[in-house]
Amino acid sequence: MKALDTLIQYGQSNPSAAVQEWKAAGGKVLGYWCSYIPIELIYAAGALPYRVRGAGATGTDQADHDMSPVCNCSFPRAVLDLAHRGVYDFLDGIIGMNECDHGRRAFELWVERLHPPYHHFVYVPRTRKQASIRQYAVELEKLKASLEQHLGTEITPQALQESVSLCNENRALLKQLQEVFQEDHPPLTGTQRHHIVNASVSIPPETLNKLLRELLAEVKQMPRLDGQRVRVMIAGWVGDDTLVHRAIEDSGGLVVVDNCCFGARSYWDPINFDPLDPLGSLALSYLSRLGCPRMFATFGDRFAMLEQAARDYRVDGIVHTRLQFCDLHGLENVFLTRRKQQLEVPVSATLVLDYIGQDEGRVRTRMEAFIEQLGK
Amino acid sequence: MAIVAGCDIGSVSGKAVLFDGQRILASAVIPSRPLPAVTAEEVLGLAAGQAGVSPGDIAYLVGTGYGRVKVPGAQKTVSEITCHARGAAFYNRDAATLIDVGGQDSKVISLSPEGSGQVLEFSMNDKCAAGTGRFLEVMAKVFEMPIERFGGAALRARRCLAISSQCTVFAESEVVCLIGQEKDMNEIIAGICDAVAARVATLVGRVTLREKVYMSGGVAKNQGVRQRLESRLGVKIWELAGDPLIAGALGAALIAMDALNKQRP
Repeated sequence: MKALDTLIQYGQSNPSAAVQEWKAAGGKVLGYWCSYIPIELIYAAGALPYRVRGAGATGTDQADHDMSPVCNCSFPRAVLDLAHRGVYDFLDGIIGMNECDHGRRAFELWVERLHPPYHHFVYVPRTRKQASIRQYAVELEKLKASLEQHLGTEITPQALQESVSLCNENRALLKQLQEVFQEDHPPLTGTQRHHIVNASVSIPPETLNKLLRELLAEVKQMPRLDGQRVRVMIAGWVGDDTLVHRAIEDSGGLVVVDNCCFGARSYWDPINFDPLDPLGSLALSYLSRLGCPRMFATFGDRFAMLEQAARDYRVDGIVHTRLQFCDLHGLENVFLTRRKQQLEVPVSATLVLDYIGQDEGRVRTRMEAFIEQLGK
Repeated sequence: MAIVAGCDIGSVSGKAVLFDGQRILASAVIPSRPLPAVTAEEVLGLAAGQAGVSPGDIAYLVGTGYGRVKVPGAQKTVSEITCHARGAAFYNRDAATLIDVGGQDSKVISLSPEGSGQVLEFSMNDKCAAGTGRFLEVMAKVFEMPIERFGGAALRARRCLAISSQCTVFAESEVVCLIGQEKDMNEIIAGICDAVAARVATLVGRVTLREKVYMSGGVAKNQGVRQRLESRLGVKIWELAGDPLIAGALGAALIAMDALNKQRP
């Protein structure tokens, strides 16, 4: 099977065959909630970091015993619902954090209701001030100690450095794949890239590096997409779902780049590692990279990325999305609306999504109209 | 003379317009049937009958509205946002902002200044019936009153009672309570129209409001909503030169004529 097909299949499965093989070989898998958890630490401890997501959820009635569909974000509800249904029984533990209150509560309910074999909560500060970085380094010390105790291993500086190198290679290869979309006629769709990114947060880093290298070789030989397509960037939400990508691409658009959590934010910046201050450098790097609106005073960074990526990828329009009840991205649109005149391309009115049963017709109508508006 | 058609299948009604490149030959509006394809066939047949032609004489057909992909024989589908903008600009070239309030969607569209009907930006209601025709329909049932009389009743009110619930279901309970308290019926209806206007005004705030402002869609015929919206926005809302209900189907027919002309050598 070609690397492209394999990666897409991995991205569509929850869990994928790669994870099942890892488990079958006796490996441990630890779930984590958000991109602010340093996966390098988990991998250096010998366990596979697996970003939990809602893929495969068809409803949230199990989660809704505790969380409310009229005021809680549908993404953590979908994740929790899958946990209730046993989809995440393959996990050997779960690591949560305070990404947002909906996610934090869903993690707490998971622990309280389902008693996973191991759990750990990481308090992640919301600023990039020196005191926050020091505090986060202390939190990472606690995570390191907890992982070492639970897994009966020692995370040596060398193991951590190797883990960072592997994960940075993942990011660099994903960035190379991203840059293929600077071409007028790239060989892949944004929907395919999104599946690959979903795979990237859940499979062993060595496997990912191997497949990405093969894919980059395949890409050189692949036929290019034909026709004039409207080049779109998606900004905002946390979802791993591909509905918005498909709605755009079925209407004659092409999602050439994004600024999303399951997306560019996970691979845009490498992690800068200092062997003399391993956890301090991880803390600094994780809090400083292209991040989400949970971090105070970081809109400027995301906006600068939108401006730069819009130029680099010759974007015709930006689709701004958020999940209903997402406090973080919900107010991001206020800032974006105020400054959108500074961007050289149109920005859509915010597309509000529900993770489960995203009423496809409504999403498709809005995306079709936006593509027609941009026209080519 | 080639005949083209636009067919707009909405959640409440199906609309069809036949166009010959110069003028509207015929138009028809029927209540939506459960199946969009059935609505499309019926309404197109009706319009064709009025024009004295057969549906087979239609050289190019464009489908729009939520049922656009189910219009039998449509060579192309176009979103209702683009179609309403185009139809409104055909009626009134000076339309700068179009507020379309339909059965299940409300949208505010900013149009290009040269009168071509090109969309500059738009906003649309989220997954909620508040601020749409469906909200008015639910309320009209509570009063056992034909929806056509709703606007007039609102205009007769001396004041407007507040309906604070944004949710259609909760708002209905609120209205039932007000009726139980024997409040003036016209004042309650004025409050209902104002509730719709408030939701639509929020959407207007998401685009750059430029005058002249027009309204399309079924709710454009409701003078109560129109007046409350004018009051909230502080601008005059003009009436389109033609039937606002068929603006989307007309836009689809105009796009059909463009497509046909492109096909011709």
